Amino acid sequence: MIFPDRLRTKAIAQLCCVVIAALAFPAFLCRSSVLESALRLRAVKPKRVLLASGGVNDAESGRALLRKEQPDWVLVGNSMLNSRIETDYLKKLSGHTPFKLTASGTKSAMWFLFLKLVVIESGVKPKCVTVFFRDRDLTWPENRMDRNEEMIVRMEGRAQPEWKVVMGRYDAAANMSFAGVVKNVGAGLGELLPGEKLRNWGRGKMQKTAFNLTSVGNSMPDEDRREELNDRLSLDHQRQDLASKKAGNEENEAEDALPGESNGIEPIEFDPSPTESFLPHMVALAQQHGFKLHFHRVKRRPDPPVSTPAELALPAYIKALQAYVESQGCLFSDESQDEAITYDMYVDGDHINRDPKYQQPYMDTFWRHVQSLVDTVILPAKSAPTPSASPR
Amino acid sequence: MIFQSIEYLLFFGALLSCYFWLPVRGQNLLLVGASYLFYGWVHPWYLILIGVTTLFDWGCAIGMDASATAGRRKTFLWVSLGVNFAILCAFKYFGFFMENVTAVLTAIGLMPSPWVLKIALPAGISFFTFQSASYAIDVYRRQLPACRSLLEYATFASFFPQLVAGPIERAGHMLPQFRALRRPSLPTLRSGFLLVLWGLFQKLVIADSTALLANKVFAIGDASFPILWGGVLAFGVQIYADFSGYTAIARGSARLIGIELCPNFNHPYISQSPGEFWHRWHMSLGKWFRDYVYIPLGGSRTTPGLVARNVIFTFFLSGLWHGAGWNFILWGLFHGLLLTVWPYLVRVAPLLGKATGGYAGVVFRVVLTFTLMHIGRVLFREHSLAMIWHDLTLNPLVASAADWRIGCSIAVEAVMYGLPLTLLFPLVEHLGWLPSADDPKMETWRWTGLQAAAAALIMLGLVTLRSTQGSDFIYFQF
Repeated sequence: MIFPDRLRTKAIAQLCCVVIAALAFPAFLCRSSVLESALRLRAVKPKRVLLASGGVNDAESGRALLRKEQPDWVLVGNSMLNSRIETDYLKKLSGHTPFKLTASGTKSAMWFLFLKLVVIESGVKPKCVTVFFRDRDLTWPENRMDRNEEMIVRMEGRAQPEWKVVMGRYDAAANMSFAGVVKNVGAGLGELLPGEKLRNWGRGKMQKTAFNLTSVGNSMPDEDRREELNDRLSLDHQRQDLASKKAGNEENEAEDALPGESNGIEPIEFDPSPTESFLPHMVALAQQHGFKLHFHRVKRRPDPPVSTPAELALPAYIKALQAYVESQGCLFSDESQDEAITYDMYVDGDHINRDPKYQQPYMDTFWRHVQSLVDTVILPAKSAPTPSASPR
Repeated sequence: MIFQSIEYLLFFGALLSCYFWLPVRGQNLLLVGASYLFYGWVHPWYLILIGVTTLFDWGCAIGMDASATAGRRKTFLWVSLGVNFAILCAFKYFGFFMENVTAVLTAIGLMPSPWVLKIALPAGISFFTFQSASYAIDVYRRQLPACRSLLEYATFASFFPQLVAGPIERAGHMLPQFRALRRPSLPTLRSGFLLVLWGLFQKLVIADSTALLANKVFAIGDASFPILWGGVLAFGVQIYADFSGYTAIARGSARLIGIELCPNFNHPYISQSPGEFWHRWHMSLGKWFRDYVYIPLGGSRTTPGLVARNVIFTFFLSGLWHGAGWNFILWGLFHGLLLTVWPYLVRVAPLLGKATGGYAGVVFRVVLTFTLMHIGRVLFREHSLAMIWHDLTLNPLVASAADWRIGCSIAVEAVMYGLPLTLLFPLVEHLGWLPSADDPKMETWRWTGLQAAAAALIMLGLVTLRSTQGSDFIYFQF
């Protein structure tokens, strides 16, 4: 007998009583519509998954915004792009109408979905689509997929035939793995205790009470108080060193290893097969829909270089990648060796500091790299920008 | 692996499902395997550190026991301590040391190329190093016989609930528990479960919510007096809930597998003097420094000058233990000085002494101690000396009305989140409403009902108030 207690039955009943109470009571309250109406709980806004110039939250709003903006140049990527490009300045610089379509923490699988489900399905026909990437992003489809579940679902990623071709084996493996079990248990707990609305209410109440208790002598509404607080503690007031760190966390890029650190990337050969990556599928979409696809390799933060196996293999890989995309009629540019992009332009990881003091010189350099390519594609369709439009 | 994860839930469930069916050796073997899995979950190579220190300390302790001469015993002690502290210094202090050496050489006109050791600090290295060192010293002092069984010692040295953030246990307390067969006791399981829930509440609701406030304040460069001190208060609540939450989960998890860990906190924020605070805060570390540093230096039974030296030196080391940075050294010295001058202050202002001034006196001393401890928090939190200076020299008179509104709302929100931990719980205990886990009345249905209600409320709190932005336990970095 592993339970030596004399009053085993009673003790087991008492233990069960405590455990069941801990689960059943909150589960009942979370699921009860009585509480929901009594507290007038509001539906929780879906988490923002997709950012674009102007800010959108799903593929449909992305399409709507594209239709409204009618850009001739779409830039696709993650926080690397977000931190590097500010569209107003780029517009002045290039004379084109750029549009950013980005989501933090995404990699090539999601960029493929942006291209297919937002850009192409919008019906807008940009002349050029530029994809910002680092190192071997374009042929590493499973990278960063675990954090993007909500976005994959919302963008119906798994329903796409190309997704099945490339990601089918990863999805199957993920469901079989320990991570899959963890995910399912987490989802099960979420089902049992769906506390999102209550949490919104509870945490909101805490802040509201704090506002009420400190509202002596002023009658500002809560929304204004919240705005005042958010403004005062916003990025505009951040310490330079910590702002960079925070930005890194916000962009969900923290675990991307810098040069010299190992992130488990093994040396890899460039493989353009359609089962191995989304790259050939992106290329095929561009060919079918008649826009120019342009791949731009960004420069990683120039830390003291320590060569890892992956980096030693990169020059050959990049050469093969460039040869492939150019042979398919796409454009390729590479800023990775440009000395004009200096260490002090970076804030954290590979992100460029968004302060115009750093971001604008970066964009000047970027434009130097891509001008001849992008102009060749876009200018024939319209008149060249007047010199006065350019700030330089 | 972290406590507040589904992985840990599955890991612990799997462990529990077979643990109690095994004999003693099997239980220990399972615990060692589980502990290594727990610690090596993200960085398996860190297990080498645990393995090396375990083997060295176990071997050196047996060597000490078998040594006929005091000289040989001492040699074994130094080997054991040398290995432990060499590992600690290499991982934790080497970078700091080189940074300062480089700065000095640069200042005198030499431009050395600094050695850079780019290795992440293994989680909890200071905790398990100190625990191992305490074993070696206890065996050397003959306060404890050397453990002959490598398995038992390895179970003690790697016991996962307290491996990365304490409590820093003593072998004399733990080894006898690992030698006995652990049988489940249902009341113990119940109290362990409640302790884990309470720990999760402290971490996920109180610590993570106040962390959001504190992080925002400490991230801005132009904080005014009210905003900064609102943030300091939030940080004070955060660090207590974070560490106390970890300890509660650790103690609850250990209790669920039949092991009792020592408590680490005893309501520190109701302390009436800095000395009392350090008897209530991170008690296992305080006792470690008392037994292995302060008393060997002479403790308090010597001249006032030497007592002051002992206190300040002990706190200097304590600061260094917390982190390799000048702010931590300053933090240690600040507390050392505070403890040194406090008895003199009591002579000048008797109200600072205990049992004076009635309830008003108690409130005054609690508020004063709380304030002083939070001045220390600025030194703890700010890593740059320039920012420490900036923070401590802020003028309250120049802050705008908006900043006062913001600062006060941050402070009030932090206090509201911290209320169950900092005031309600101490009050309930003070009133004697909370019997100990092994009190027979806990087995009555009345108390079971109360426990069930408490569990339901804690869980409801977890669901409704949990912060959506989680963070690591602060003390993992030490």
